Amino acid sequence: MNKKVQNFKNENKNYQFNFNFIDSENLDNLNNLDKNQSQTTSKNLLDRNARHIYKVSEINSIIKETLEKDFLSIWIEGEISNSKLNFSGHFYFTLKDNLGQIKAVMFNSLYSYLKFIPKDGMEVIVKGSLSCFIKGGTYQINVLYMEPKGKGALLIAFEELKKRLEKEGLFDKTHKKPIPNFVNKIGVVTSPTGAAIKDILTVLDRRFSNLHIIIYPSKVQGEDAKFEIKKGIEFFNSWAEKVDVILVGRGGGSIEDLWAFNEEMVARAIYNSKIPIISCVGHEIDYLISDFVADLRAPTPSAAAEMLIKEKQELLNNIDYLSNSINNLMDNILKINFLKYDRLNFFNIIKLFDKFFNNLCQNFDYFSSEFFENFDTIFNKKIVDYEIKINKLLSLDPKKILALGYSVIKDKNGNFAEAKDLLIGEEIEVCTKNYILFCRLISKEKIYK
Amino acid sequence: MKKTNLKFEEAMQKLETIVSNLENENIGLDEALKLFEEGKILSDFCKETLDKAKKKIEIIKMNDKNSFNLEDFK
Repeated sequence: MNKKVQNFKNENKNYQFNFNFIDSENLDNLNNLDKNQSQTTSKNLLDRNARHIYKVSEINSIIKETLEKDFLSIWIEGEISNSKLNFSGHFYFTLKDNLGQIKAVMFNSLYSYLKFIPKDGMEVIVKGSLSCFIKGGTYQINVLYMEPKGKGALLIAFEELKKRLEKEGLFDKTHKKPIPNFVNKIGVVTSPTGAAIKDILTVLDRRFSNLHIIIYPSKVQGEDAKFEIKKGIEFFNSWAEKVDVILVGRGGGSIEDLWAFNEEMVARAIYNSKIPIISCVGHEIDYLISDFVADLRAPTPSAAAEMLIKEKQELLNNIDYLSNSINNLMDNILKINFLKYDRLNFFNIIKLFDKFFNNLCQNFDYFSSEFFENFDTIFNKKIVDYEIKINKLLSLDPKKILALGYSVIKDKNGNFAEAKDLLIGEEIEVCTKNYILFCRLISKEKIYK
Repeated sequence: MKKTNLKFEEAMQKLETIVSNLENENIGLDEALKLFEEGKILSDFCKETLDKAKKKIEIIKMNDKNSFNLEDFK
């Protein structure tokens, strides 16, 4: 073997040395590469009489072929630097350690499924395949998978707990309590100095302020956080002054920062709460265990506040709408009914006036001025006609009217009946002061036009 | 004016029923007045309940395991 081949082989060995963390499968590949490479090269050399000169593109394409064939699936650990998310969502970065670096790319289709946001300075473990660019003589790793270094264990714990609690039924829809439409008292379990409470209060100020907020101060990261969050939830549940809903959350952060919300202790406290709980941790993309257990998941603390406050504003609008409807409908009903009274009917008119004026006194402002104008034109005449009798009777209640000798006619179903509607032969009830007379109508005669 | 013993949500529901009953054109005046009166009481009650709550933000200060204070949160 000539010296050049030897060099190539040595280089190759160095190369292998640099990748000493490659798994055993790849080591085998590398050994094969070694053999194959020497064979091809030797053959080439024999063919070309010892001195072979590669074209640049030629050697690059040999390298490309070798790299791509033999580094199809490797794991590398290193620190992210120079990262850049380009406009089409591909994530370009450099993976480095203190002695070297390698260019890397993670394409959009895979990058978008990452459970964390990789940033410069972050230690990661990636899995991918090497590829080489003939034109530039550069190579890079196409990253297929990436996990934060040292966080693998956390993620495994997360998946395990999620599966277990799901199986146990902690995420069941049937267990979810509805968030009340009407929320007056809100309990918040969060850090009093954190972003979450600031966000919630900002939303309150901006939109609607009629609420009572009670904050249970709790750590939201670090070892103690889970105990304090649990205590907060239990506090609101045992407190005599019931809150309508509990918000449990914090601002965004790294997966370790948010970890308390992935703790089983917190999940069970949420599950056992009698008061509906909204989980609101500032992490729009990722889901935490608390999100799955809670009765409602809000992507951020502000979003949770907006959900609750919007409901309340809607209620106010709804009441206004219903209250206006009642006024308008009653307005109409009164108009229709007054128009019906085209002849004297003491009982009904008195009853009507009695109630009408009572209501008028109580709800004066609810009747439109238009209604009063109509009222005047339509009824003034009739009122003048019967003024004396009505005035006399107005001071009396219906029973006293009956006592005066008047009677009320009802049909056989007990509804007030107008004489014009009654048929000859029909059974009727005539109510007097002390008796109800069950009668049959023999004949009727119209006396007023 | 008369008071209602209903809860807010029940009152809201009843208010809706009253409106749909009043929408029926054949309703008797007697009943209409009764419903109207009830509706007024309910809507006033609902509004009042909503208005009663003023913005109040407090924070819990635990003294020991069994006692705590509520302080205004600034």
